[in-house]
Amino acid sequence: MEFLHFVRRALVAQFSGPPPRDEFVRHALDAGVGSLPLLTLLTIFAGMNLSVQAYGTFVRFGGQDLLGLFCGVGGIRELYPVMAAVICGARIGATLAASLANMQISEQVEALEVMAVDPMRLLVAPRLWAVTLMLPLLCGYADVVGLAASYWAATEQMGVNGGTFMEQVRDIVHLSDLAAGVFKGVVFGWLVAIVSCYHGYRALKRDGAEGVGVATNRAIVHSAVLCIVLNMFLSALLYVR
Amino acid sequence: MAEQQPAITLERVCKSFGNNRVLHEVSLVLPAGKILVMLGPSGTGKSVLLRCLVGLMKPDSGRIFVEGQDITALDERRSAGREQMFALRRKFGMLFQDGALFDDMCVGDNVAFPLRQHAKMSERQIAERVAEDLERVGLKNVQRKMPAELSGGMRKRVAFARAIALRPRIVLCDEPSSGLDPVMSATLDELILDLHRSLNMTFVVISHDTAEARTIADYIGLLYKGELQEFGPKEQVLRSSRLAINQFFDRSTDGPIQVL
Amino acid sequence: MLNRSFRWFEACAAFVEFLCAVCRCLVTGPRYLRETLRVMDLLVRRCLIPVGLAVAPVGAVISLQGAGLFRMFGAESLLSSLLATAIFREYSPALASVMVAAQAGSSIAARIGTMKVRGQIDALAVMSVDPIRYVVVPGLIACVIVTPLLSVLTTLLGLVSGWFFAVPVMGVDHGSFLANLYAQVSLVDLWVGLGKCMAFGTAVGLIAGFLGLRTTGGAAGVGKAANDTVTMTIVLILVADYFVSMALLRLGV
Ligand SMILES: Nc1ncnc2c1ncn2[C@@H]1O[C@H](COP(=O)(O)OP(=O)(O)O)[C@@H](O)[C@H]1O
Ligand SMILES: [Mg+2]
Repeated sequence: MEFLHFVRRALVAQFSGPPPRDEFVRHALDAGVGSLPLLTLLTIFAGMNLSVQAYGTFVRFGGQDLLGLFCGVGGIRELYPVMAAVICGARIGATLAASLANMQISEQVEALEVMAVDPMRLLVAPRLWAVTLMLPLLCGYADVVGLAASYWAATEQMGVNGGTFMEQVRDIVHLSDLAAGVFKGVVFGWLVAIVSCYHGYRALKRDGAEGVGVATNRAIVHSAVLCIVLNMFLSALLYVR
Repeated sequence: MAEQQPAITLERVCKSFGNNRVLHEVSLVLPAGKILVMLGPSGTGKSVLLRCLVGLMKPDSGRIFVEGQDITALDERRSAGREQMFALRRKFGMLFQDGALFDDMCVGDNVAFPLRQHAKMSERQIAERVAEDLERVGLKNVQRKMPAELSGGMRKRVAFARAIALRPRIVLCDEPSSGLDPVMSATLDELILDLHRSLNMTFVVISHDTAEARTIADYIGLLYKGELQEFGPKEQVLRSSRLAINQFFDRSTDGPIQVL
Repeated sequence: MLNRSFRWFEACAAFVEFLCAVCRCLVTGPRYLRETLRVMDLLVRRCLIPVGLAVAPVGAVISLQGAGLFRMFGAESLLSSLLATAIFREYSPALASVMVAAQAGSSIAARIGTMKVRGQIDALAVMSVDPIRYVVVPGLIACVIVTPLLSVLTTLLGLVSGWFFAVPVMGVDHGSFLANLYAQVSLVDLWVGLGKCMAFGTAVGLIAGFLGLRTTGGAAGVGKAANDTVTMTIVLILVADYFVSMALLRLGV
């Protein structure tokens, strides 16, 4: 209930004119560029994991030649968008929540109110825009890196034929799948941002440092769980025919 | 000026948190251009009173007028009410108990913040005003420092500079002197008096320092257990025979104010 | 640059020192059993729902996408085997650990960090209570024990949700789904999964304790400790997972 009220206020703030530019740029850079090293590292290993584990599983059925199909579908449709979102929740969302909670407990948000500045417009709106716009880009980036890593692991480590692998990927992954991934990215990005801002914003002064910890923790867990659950529904919506 | 409206009027303001009755039927009238020092032991609701004044908290009952306008009637959940509230708040400057500086901005940006938001001033004018105000509070060449690099007392003074940057008509100070050394807190008192004289600002200063009350106050209030025990012009209050006020000024443990 | 690599070096040295201290506390008394049980109870209650909610959709998505793939080759009956192996060996341990890192790791780090910035850790030391023994070790032990327990639950949930999306939603035959479910899962898979969980749980407990104790910089630092714990553990889990899978593949298990 309280959350819905917050969402309404945030939406009003988000769409009532362009967000403050400096804040937006700062958060967009932090969310986008700041996440690149971590996301690169994680998608490389996730992509290789996908290959290795799928190989280990498929070998049992004698289906190791289908690796390209599996890596294409599993990775691009499901794994990389969700990964980007969970990482985004753990890094960006947690940072958002921690910074807002810290502002709340040290009365900085109230100071804004007293100075007749709407904290929703100044603090929440640029963060929402930044993450919503950056996460789809991160998803696209993760697709490329992850697929390359899967390919490398499949060909170099498991000796799968590279040509067949790519052919299968091209066969099964259509442009619409990439678009769906980006769409998921937009949804997840907004969700992570709103959930994290909510938990950060809700911290109270008397909670002190503990409030920051609680907000961070909730932001990470709730955005991860929400993204994973929502991913299931989005996939069911997009792919069940 | 004929028949000026009082700066602040409180009418039977009550505020509780659950069973915890924090403010009980507080009423007072503070004329414009006066300095009110609100005394009281810690935890009696002084900060809560200030929050109610600027609409950060809503009293459970009672009304608060700021220059004649009822702040308790504004509904912040409606956008019109929010607009009005923001318009009203531009009359205020507030110094928070712990400063509430934005810790991702340097000192200069912190002081410049209200100016950038509300004043139609060029960056040069803003820079000049920031330097002027920082000098007023006894700080020089700190603009590029981050709040985390400052001592507690310095942070408080920066916050004070920020509170007065827009030249508000009413300045609320939550314990400006606590955590400052005696010399610094005396300097701050002089600054308040100076601003009061030159810009005719109204001040509400929260304190538990009776010396401060003696020096700067026009009006003194004593808040204890959520009730306004005493309120009036300084001379009248200092002459008062009420036990609580005497106890406070005598720093005695013997009297109606009990620690437990 | 030099400064940064030096700091990194210093952190590594501090971590080694921390590890030694933890080991010392593990082998010698006194042990705070009651505190350990309290943390375990807290972790189970806090993690149960998030972990369950995170793993159930994975089974669903495997069924959903897998059914489409296998149907192309007319091998729908193999879907349940894929689901079972993937969940038992890979997704259940990894996801349970990631969620334990997110929930337990961040809250342990935040709790220790709060104690640190409030000076309570120093207060413990002044009262001659070893902070590592009193606040880190119980959390560590709780993580090591709780993670495998949760993973058992997540395995079940993953299979159930996988079944739901395969049979009623995608129209795979119920009989062949059940018949093939355990065809490819061996006892080894089970042990590998549980072993991974314990290893990842150890990582969560250690990193949360280490970063929590190193918290500086007030309330903002608490958030950073919680955040860093989660990202570092997730990296560690994924990297370790890869090498374990590779090794198992090479061994032909
Ligand atoms: N947001 C709040 N929720 C619940 N209780 C509060 C809140 N703010 C203040 N209080 C309570 O109100 C009382 C007065 O607090 P405060 O006004 O901060 O005291 P002080 O006079 O020292 O400034 C305290 O007992 C405090 O516990
Ligand atoms: Mg106070």
